[in-house]
Amino acid sequence: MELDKVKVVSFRIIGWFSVITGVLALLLLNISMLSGYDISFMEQLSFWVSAILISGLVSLFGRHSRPLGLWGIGIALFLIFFTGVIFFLGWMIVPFP
Amino acid sequence: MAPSEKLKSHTEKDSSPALKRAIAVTRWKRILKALTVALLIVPIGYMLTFAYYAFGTKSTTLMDTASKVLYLTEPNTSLEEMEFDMDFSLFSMNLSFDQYKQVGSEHYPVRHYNLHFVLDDLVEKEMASNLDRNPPRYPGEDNQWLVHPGQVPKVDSGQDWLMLKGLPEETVAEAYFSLNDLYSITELRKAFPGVDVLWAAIYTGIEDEMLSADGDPVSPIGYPVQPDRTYWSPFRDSMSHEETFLQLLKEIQPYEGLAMEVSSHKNLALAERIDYIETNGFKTYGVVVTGPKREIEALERSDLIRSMKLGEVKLWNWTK
Repeated sequence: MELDKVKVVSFRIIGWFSVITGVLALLLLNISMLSGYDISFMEQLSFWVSAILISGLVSLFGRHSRPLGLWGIGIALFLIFFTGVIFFLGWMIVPFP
Repeated sequence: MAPSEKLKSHTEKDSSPALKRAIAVTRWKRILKALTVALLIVPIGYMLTFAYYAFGTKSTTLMDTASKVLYLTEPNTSLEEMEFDMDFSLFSMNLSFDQYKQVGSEHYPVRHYNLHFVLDDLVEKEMASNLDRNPPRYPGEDNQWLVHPGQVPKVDSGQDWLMLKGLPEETVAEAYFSLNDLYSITELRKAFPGVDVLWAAIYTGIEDEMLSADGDPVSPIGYPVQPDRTYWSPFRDSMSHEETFLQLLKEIQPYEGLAMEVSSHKNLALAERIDYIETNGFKTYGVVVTGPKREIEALERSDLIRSMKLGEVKLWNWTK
């Protein structure tokens, strides 16, 4: 019984970690774009996405933490999609190597 | 249970820590959801901006139009597209680049352009010039450096010949020659030995009055004469610069408004000029040349030249 409670709480914490890391990543992405400067966040994007994705996937195993996991995974997928679109379209609109 | 006892039990339940925590969690979820949606706005805006410049009005179209119009409206101009700086921000694009002039055998940066587009609308144009002798900002009827034979030159040619004579022998210069008549470029290149003919102003049927059919003031347009091997140049590998010139005029015609804003011209009147050239061919009434000071000075005796305006002067770099 006690172990179940620990499991539920752990999954919930991991789910919240996924969501909060995702929101923080989005915030840094916004700062990076609005400031117009390449801050180090963009270089570490894969690390952030991995952290959000892994914690999101883990929290999917808990019934109560599943919505949080899906939320985090959603943010991670958006970041992956955003990076892909910007890379591909950036390659199209900037004609220089 | 009495109603008062029922209420008491309810109140106790409401203030239980579990319920309080649930309310706090729900509140935080709402806040974070709103924050997530708000933080998606800028990245989505960026993706839409990139999509617009990739599939709508292409960034390369804006860059090419700006580049081509400067080759055709600014005498003795070259650009290095590899050094174009392109920055994108929300629904806007910034394009900055240097313009070069050939003086003697070398190219020198003479102007820096900074163009700011909101979508395809040029909203800001900044231009910083390093030129020692600036041509008129808006070449019009009265202040042209290249003048059609049908017009009275307003430049003081005698003074500029004197200035040229006073230069040291170890200098190279750029000179704007207005001619006595209309000539073909081939004729002129033979007639001006010892110097490079760089740019020729082409007669398009309206330069005798410098007014378009609608009565709007126009300025000289023309094309670079020397072979251009740089791979970003629109004249690269061109078998006939004349045909390339006509082709470029047709290419910028759909973007005439933008082309006009980028150039220093008030009007381009492309449709009537293209029609005239297609019917009557290519004749020039003025050219820009560069070479050693003494070679340009020797051309004072040429019967073809009506007036001269001295452009940039540099220390000796002539390698021919």
